[in-house]
Amino acid sequence: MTGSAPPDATPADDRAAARERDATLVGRVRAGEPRAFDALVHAYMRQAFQLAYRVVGHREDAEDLVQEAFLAAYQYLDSYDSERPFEPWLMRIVLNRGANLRRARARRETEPEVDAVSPAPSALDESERAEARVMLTRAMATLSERQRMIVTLFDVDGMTSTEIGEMLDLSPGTVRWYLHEARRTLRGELSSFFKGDV
Amino acid sequence: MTDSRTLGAGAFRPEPAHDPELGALLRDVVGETPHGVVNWTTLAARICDRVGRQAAAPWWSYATQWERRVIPLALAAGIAAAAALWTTASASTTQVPSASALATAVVSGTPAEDAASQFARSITNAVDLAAGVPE
Repeated sequence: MTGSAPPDATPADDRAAARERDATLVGRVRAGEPRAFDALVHAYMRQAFQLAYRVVGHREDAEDLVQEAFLAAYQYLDSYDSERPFEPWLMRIVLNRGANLRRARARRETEPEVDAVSPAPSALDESERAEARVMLTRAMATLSERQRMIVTLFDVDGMTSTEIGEMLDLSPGTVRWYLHEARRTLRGELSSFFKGDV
Repeated sequence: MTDSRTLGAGAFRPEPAHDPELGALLRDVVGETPHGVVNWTTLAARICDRVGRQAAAPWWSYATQWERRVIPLALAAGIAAAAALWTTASASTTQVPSASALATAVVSGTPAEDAASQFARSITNAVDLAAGVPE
């Protein structure tokens, strides 16, 4: 996820290398070399888009949000603490700007793009699934923004708790705790559809 | 709620398995991230272009970012200042009759009662004017 590293490099090594690279790039931008920012754009636009899409739920809006977040990051780069990792700082901008964008476009319908949805295995038949969708939407609304984000990134996007933690500046244990709480709430609300554990 | 950074990597071990059943339902509701639909090259070029333009922008371009807020504020401040100046000027030009005016009236032979009532009327008018009371 974070660029080139030796084949036997651990994720921690990757993170340290990415951090060092980001600090160097930020230093170059601050020293008057704006083109160095392009490397940061290439390094983080996919993660930024993933989070942006989860915030606004619409591809074009998510692309606009990513662009806006990078512009804001560039504009306020002087306020960034280079002792801390760049990615969570950028993702926080995505989250904040995304919340503003969502409020501003609250009236616009933001249905998920149907062609992007792939069929997934489920024991439920179609009518049950439709009913479950309604209940799940309602249950999702009871989760906190962070729980909703984490359960989606984990169970839909297939990210690990470490990857989500890096993105949101949380420890993996904290991510797993939010995930546990979110799943418990959702499975509790949908208990009639699931056999067994909550 | 627990502080977000108090739980270390040791909490909630091990990494939970992905939940395909819940994941499938969630996917129905929120959709998958359409990574395959995005043209990453175009998006990156668009962002880098915007950043480059922002970097090359002259110093006065920052003023244009604020003009939509600053111009109405400046207009409002100007109107308020003009109103304050006008009010001050009106108040300072209002003539308050002095005691010497009364003395002049008496010396010129005006009956004392007339001079006193004229003086009182002129004071009342001056106070009304200063207070903005219509005549």
